[in-house]
Amino acid sequence: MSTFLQASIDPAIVSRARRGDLKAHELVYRAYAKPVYNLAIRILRDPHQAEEVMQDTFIEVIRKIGSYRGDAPLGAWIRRIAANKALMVLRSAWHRLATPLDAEHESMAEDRGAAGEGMRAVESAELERQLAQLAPVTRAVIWLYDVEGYTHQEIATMMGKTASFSKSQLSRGHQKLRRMMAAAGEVQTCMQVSNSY
Amino acid sequence: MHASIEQLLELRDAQGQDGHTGDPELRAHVDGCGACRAELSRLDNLREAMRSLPEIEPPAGRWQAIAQAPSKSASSWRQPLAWGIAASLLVVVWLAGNLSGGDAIENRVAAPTGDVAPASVAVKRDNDLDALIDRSRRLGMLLQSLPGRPEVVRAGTDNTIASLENSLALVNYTLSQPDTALASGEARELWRSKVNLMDSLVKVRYTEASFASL
Repeated sequence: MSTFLQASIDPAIVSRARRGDLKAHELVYRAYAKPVYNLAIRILRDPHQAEEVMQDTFIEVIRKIGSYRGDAPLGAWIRRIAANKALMVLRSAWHRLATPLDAEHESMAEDRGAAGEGMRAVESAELERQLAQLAPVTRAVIWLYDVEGYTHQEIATMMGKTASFSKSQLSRGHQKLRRMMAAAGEVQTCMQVSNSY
Repeated sequence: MHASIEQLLELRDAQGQDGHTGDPELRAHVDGCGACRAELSRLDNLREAMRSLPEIEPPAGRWQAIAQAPSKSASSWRQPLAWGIAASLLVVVWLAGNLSGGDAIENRVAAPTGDVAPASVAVKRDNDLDALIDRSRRLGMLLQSLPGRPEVVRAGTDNTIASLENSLALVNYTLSQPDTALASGEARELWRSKVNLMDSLVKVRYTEASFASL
């Protein structure tokens, strides 16, 4: 389940935020900064870009929260803004110029590994490393679909593509992850992939 | 034969929906096939593993920057300003198209989906020193034409711009030394570096200006 939907905030604070209360804005930030940052860093794999997405997201949240009607949970509303910001960075030429070296990806995986315990930490670090090796758009689709729970149609709309594109990216990403896991000895390699069964 | 990953993903996602188990024929195959069952289970576990990845703490102290960012209400006086910036960007794009003789840098800068050719690819066509010098002059004009930098800048963008400008200053310094007798190959390499750095700088500045005008 997406961490955006696990975070909760008092509706009274949301009402105050909608009226422009600066303290309420800060409380919204405190409640959702971590999910926003994590969404951005999982998609972009770069702490600096993730930080900028987080900053831009909350500037927009504060600017537009007056128009938030409460039809969807606040977390889902903020998540959409954050996802759009992260995808916008992914599309930009700026992203290609500022994409960090593989070494930085590795250090990120090591940091996460150090934060966990035993085998779980090792597995998490390995999964981080494998996700980092996916093409950025493929990784974004996998994260938005499998973790954040967006539908293919929703992802397609955000990316300006078709639902088929999202489906094929998801499938391609999982195939690549499987190959990486097979190479790492995490899965058996006898699985045949075919369109018929 | 086994089910494809795409089919297994559809089955996995159908399982999560109330009252749906996916394509019955596929379901029957997977139920009777150990390899497909194992693969389906792996896909399920992988999704859970991704959802369970340790959360990463965002950097501290960002709230002040967010709280101090100027409001950009679309209904305010800023809207004409945004249109003005957008118009000036269009002029820059037009100018670049005319200056660079069919190799419009901004067409590549503005390409949205990763089809941007690296600057070095463009430069390969301009191996001649005179062409590199001419290209550097055009890029210089282009940089002059870009709108000023926004009041609120992204830390990463700012670092990238500073780094490019520092590298460019170093190249310019080397090229400007009267006592430095450069072999033609060395001079070409320096001018090529200069053109690449300026091309990158245009891209970053253009993207920054595009973000600022949103």
